[in-house]
Amino acid sequence: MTFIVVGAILAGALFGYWILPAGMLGYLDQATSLALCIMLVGVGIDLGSQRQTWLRLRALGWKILLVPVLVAVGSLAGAVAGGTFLGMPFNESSAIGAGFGWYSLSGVLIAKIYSVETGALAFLTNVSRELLAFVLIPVLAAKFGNLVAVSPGGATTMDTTLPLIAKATDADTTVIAVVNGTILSSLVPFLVPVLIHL
Amino acid sequence: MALIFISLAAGILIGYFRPLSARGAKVTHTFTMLGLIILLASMGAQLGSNKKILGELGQIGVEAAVLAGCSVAGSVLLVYFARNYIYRDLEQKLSHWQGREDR
Repeated sequence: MTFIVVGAILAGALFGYWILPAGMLGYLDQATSLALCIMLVGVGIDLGSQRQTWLRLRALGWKILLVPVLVAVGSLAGAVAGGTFLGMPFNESSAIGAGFGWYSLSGVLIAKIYSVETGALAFLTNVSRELLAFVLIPVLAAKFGNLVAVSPGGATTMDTTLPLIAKATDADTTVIAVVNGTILSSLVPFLVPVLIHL
Repeated sequence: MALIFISLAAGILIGYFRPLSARGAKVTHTFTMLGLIILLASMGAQLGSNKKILGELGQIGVEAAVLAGCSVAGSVLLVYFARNYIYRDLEQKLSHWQGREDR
């Protein structure tokens, strides 16, 4: 997956640098709009079919929702604080923070509907978040407890960082991680467009 | 933006009311990946043809590291302070749920 993502961007960048005339970029718009719709329908189908996770959520009680809510609020507040330090506008920093580690979706969404520069920043920020999560999960689990180890991964705790969480924590925390990742993943395609247009 | 939410809502409704077969899920995944690859390549093409952004890639990398570090710090801090409250009563429910899954 990582190779596909990096390969697609590199191939596009090389094409843009050497082959594509600047005036041709406007013609990409219709093709990318169609691609965005197709991708979002696919993302929606995936989210809608996560029935098992919603059943788990009901069984565990609504208090478990506090984990993704706190991860989301902390992520947004942290990104806005960091963005303010860097002199960035609120809408950009908050939308980038709302990627919650889902670098492919947040990057292309912002590049498509706002600006390619901010999209690239969102992509790199959320790639960095995933890398940071891989480093921090075992350390946080050992020093501050299993629940804290779920927090750095954001939306990735339902897929890419889940095996590491399962290894570093226990079965109970793995269930919480799946619920956390699913809810945060559901929020990304809604929050990013809303926040970037503030 | 309306197009984004309509596409998402359509997908969620399809996924919720008409769960896909294994083959259908595979086809959907292929189309999702295809859409993603087109968008990523398009983002790459726009970056590659923009000399200004290419010149600022180092600075963008530093900004990304700051934003990622702050986001992670915010998430970790809030969950750390609330962990005892969240865990209260939860352990019993979790062991009950694990028991059901094991059966």
